[in-house]
Amino acid sequence: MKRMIVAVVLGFAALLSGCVVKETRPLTKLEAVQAKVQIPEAELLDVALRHFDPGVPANLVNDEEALDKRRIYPDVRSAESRLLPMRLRTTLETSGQWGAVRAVPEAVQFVDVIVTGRIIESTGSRLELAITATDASGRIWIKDRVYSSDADLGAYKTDASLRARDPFQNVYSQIANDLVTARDELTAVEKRELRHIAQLRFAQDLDPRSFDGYLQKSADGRYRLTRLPATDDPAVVRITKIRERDAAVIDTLDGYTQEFSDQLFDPYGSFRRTSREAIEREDKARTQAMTRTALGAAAVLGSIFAGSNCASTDYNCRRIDSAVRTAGAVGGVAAVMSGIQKFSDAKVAAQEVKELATSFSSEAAAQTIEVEGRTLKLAGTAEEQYREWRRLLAAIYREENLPAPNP
Amino acid sequence: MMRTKHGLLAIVAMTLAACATPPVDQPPSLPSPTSPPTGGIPAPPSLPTPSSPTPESGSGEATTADERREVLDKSLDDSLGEFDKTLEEEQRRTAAERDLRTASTGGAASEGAGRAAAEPGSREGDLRSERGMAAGRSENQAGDRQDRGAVGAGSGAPNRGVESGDDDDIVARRLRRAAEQETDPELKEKLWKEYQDYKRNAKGG
Repeated sequence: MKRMIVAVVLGFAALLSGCVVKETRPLTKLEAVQAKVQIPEAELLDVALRHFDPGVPANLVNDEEALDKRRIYPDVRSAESRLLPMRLRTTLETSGQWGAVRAVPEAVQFVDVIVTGRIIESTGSRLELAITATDASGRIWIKDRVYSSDADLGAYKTDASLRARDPFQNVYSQIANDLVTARDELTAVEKRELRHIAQLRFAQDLDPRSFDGYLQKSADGRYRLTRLPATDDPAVVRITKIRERDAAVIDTLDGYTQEFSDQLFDPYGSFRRTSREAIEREDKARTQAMTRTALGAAAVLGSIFAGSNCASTDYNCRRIDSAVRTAGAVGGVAAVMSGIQKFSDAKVAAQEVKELATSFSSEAAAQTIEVEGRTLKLAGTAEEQYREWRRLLAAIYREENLPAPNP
Repeated sequence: MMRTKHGLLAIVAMTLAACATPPVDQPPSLPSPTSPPTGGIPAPPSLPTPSSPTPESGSGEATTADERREVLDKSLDDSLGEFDKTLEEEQRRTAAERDLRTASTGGAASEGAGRAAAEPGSREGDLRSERGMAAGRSENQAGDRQDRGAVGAGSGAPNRGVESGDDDDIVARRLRRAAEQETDPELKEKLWKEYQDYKRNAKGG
């Protein structure tokens, strides 16, 4: 029985000690597939990247300790909800596969393809995102698919390498490639139709009576094109003018996010690099602490419970056996103490990660408030204008279509 | 007496009829705080109905439907023009602030340019569409999609024979973009030169 206990304890300790080995092979670099041929204008789809969901669990919003344990820092996540889509935007744009790619707030709706994201994990050492992509017809391209990667440590080596390639570029490249795969499943006709559907949904939203009947919404929520309006239809001309302004608003909002991203490019890179180092120290200390504590406990238990093979009259053997047991117990206790010290080191490192996050948050706070304020202000102004235009379009429709009153 | 009574009734009836006339100048409704914040956005549930009075219907001297429609079209154009001014002003302000920040950070300008060249898109898309560019075409090329609504976009290319970016490969595109977006004139000049040299070499090779 005693031997069994000793075997179990030693086996457990051996298992834990196996955790110490950590692979740090360099990651294979994944690149976004570049467009090899010029895509016809009418098939070049625009992409709107909505600001990501920061992914702070609702039930933990007020539980700072629980959030710290998960390395979720709400202010950092708030900044990342804009910063991360901009990294994806860069990847999509430089691939040459898409039309205009814009980072937009949630309210923007009528774009050929809309990508939404949720941050599951984002630290200096790991990124995990859940991505959904839907086109203007309501077809789902990617549904809540999880993309994750450890950091490419090469990117952290110098400031220049950090600027040259994002530590999580593989994540963005994989998303970009999956979007291209989904798009390539559409025929040329479907892509052209998709662009018309986006424009007609926009038109219907502003001038529902003039654009009634061009789209059909099926039971599954998908929009299908039934016919196209004449290009010289005055209603189309008016909507085109408004659509131009809508695009300009989207460009301006995107510009705000771009500016925000540029301002925080270096601070965010530094934060991720230093926090990764602290996270690595914390993880290493925690693993060592667990190993040492377990091995120490095993040694103490082994010293106490291990059976003796010495004969009762063999005093020499018994003295040696006793010395070995004492040494084992002392060594075990020392190992446990060392493990406790390592737990303490891990706590210090965890605190360091938190302080780094706090420091970055305070640096980003002013910019975050500014970009949010500007976005809301412009969006509010635009919304007021759209209301006015909707009213004018409705009045024009009445004049064009209602029978003249009898004299 | 009877006639006086009828006269009084007629005056009262006329006064009431005048009160029933709908007001001509109704101020536009302001957006509610809970309304969606930006464009391309769903319509509010209460669109004006054909019978509801609007400031435009029946206003001014326009008497025929065509005249009234012309007045409305003009109102729409005026409103679009006003909105353009607001947007241009906002874009100018943003660009000026960015330039100021770049200038105040000193060496950051060259650093930023380097990043833009090394990592395309890091400053791209400033307040304009790049649809044409993504398709490997010049942004300023005629026929670029109208509905992208570029307002106040300019490449900043020097007027000395910089060729169009029609046949740019990815490296050339990156260099061109970096040159377009650089605000420091000296660096801008260097980047354009770099771009032209690259294009020459690419053609020569």
